[in-house]
Amino acid sequence: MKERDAEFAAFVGAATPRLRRTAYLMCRDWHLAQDLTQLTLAKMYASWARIWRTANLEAYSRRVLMNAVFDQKKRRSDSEVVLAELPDRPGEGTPTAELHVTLMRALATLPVRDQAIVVLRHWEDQSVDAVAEILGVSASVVKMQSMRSLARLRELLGEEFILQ
Amino acid sequence: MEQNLKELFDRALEGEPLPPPGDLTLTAMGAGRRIRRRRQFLVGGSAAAALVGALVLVNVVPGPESGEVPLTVPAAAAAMAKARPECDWTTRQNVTDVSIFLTYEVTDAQRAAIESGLQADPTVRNLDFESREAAYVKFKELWKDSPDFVQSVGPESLPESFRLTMTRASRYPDFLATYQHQPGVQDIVGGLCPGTSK
Repeated sequence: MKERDAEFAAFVGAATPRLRRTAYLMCRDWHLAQDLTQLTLAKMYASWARIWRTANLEAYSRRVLMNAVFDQKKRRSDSEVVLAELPDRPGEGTPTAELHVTLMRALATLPVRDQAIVVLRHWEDQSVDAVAEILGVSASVVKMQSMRSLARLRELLGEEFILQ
Repeated sequence: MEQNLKELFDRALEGEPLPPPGDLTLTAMGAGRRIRRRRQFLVGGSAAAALVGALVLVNVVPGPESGEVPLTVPAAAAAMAKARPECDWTTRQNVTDVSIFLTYEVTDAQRAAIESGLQADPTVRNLDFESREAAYVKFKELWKDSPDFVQSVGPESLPESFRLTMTRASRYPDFLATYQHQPGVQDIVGGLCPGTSK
């Protein structure tokens, strides 16, 4: 029992920073990201006896986190409409420093599962297969949606983004 | 573009605040134990509570605003007990009718592995799958007289499950041991139903 809890403490230490950042990229709110991370860790501890030796904890924790994000978005779908407004296209004079803000707004316009694919693939650097396992979809869905999402982001971010 | 994307994400993360004070591990353990207790409330220790506690659940099920894991299996188990009042849900030895509730995080691969195991299992007959949607439709119908309870559970809260009957009721303990720790299985609930043919 002691060893099991020690392993959990080690997992929390190792996994938390990344989980929190991934959560932030999904919800654009650090406070909420913290809550979602804590919920993820609690859910994992609730099943820890079963998963600690057997599960791929990296993938498992991403799955729990993304499900928490999806649930949360479902509950807040009203306020999400506001966030989902199309961003202004960056004009000629848009300072480059703002481009990441524009990216986050553009990301928010994608369906939530596609946001997850983009974040897991292109920020976390997870493989297509890993993302497929985390989200419970096929590898071809990950590939196709990833391509579509990138095209959409490119469209929203404007020429400047491609040329950089 | 990909390289660029990662840099932009990193920049978007630059304003990251310090984590809040407090021991994250201990907090997670405390909250995790509460989640586990809720999950086990009915099915873990005494399935008898499924009968007695079906209505008490109204006060126990967390509302959707609580931010916690939806309490899935107890609600589903309570629904089962209500739907089949002629069955004895307290037995752990002789069982004819079984529900295998899947976890919230179950993957397609895990579900398929469980299914093929059950299909090949000679003690299993009448294997059926119940989706979340189907479970919720049934659930609403069963509890239409308790709208507060229905409201407190929510459409996405009921787990998926495999439903089956045992060829021999006395094989249930072995069956339970085989499947209860399989990845993707949250809980297994069984009842002895007089109507089910041996």
